[in-house]
Amino acid sequence: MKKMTRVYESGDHVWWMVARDPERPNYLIDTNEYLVVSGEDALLTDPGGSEVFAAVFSAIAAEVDPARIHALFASHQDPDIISSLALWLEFNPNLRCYLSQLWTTFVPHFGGQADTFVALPDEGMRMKVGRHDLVAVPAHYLHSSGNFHLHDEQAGILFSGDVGAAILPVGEEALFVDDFDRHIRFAEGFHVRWMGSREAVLDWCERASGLSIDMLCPQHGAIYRGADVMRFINWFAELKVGTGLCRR
Amino acid sequence: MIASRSPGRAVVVKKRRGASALSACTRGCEDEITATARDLARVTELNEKIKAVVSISHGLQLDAINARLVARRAGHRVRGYAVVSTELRSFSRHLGYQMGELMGNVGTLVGGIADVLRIVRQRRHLQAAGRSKLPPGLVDALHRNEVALRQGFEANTFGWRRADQELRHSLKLCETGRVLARGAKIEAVYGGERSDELIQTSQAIEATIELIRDRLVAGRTLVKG
Repeated sequence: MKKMTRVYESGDHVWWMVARDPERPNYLIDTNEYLVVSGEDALLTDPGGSEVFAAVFSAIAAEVDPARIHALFASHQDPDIISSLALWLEFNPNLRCYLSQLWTTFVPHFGGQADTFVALPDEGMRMKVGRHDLVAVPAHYLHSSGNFHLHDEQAGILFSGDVGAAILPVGEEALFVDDFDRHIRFAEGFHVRWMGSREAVLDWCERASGLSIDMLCPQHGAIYRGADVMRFINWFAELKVGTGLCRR
Repeated sequence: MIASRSPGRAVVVKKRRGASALSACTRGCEDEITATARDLARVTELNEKIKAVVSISHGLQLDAINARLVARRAGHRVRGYAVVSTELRSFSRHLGYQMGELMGNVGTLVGGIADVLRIVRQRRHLQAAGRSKLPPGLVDALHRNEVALRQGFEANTFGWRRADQELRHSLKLCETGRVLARGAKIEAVYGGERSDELIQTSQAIEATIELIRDRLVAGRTLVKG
């Protein structure tokens, strides 16, 4: 079973992390889902693949009424992010899904119809969850061509999708990065292979440096807090990415 | 079906066998399949009610402790009240434990129904794939899907029954609690100068038990669908 953990709380404004299922088969990449609650309203980021729908749904239901979720946010189109869409829509056909405009005719292969999707333009968009504003921040080509992160200025949280992701070894259960130098070794292989553009990396690093971020919350791995956020941004800015290109 | 020595006829026989097998698959699960999305909404609503009761029953445990303390402060005049408040404390602990069990079981049921929803969706795709032509591999896939569905439905039926049993047990406990709360109100009258305080505490406990009981009755209504 996945577990829900509060990672931020201020009154009725809460960020929950849904993570760490010890029963997950190891052929499925581990994912973190985040539930942003404001009052009676909630938004679920990167709700997960169809194979983990039951685990995610029941973890959420243990703490928060899933009927409060009015929208999903898909950072991009990958199956581990959004292939559960049809199952979420079975539960609540009125759900909306925020998604890059690039993918609004691709993701319906997982589920949904034209009016399910709120197409995010390349420059991003503000959205409301309850009384609070969230901002879809462009992060294109990191790794998907149409890719967004989600910034909650009040909470000081950036949901960063695959940026910051780490493939943690079995037994590493910590939700937060405690030892940056040790942790980043689990992130390096992912970033050098998956991130394809130095230009996109530098663009993101410049953008992220200008945001107020106390917690960088990736879709895989552990959360970077405090000084580790800037440490990560600086590390990423120096990283040589795009190692999948085979040079003759 | 009569086995045939002619290869052409054998293909027709095999196709008919596959088609009737598919019909059996389709017939077997349709009502349950249709109900699955509704069941997920239903069990989620039940889960919310149970969570509310768990929260209220924690408050009840505090009320019961308070009743004990009030009885102790009131002294020997309210020995009867003290006895009842001790029983109330025991009842509230028992109820708290029961509600914890129920919450765990309903939580498992939520996950079970969510998983069946996934298998139902796979089934719809497989059925759509077989509309014009039914290759043997597809019939096999539908059979496997049906086995998985049946296992899921059986587990969930058991889960619903268990939830109903536990709700019934909790309601019986609430009846005990009601009797105790009324007993406390009666004993409170003999509390002298502490009487008002004792009555107030007993009324609070009685109101809480009624609240719990109402939620549990609503829960049973949901379980019965």
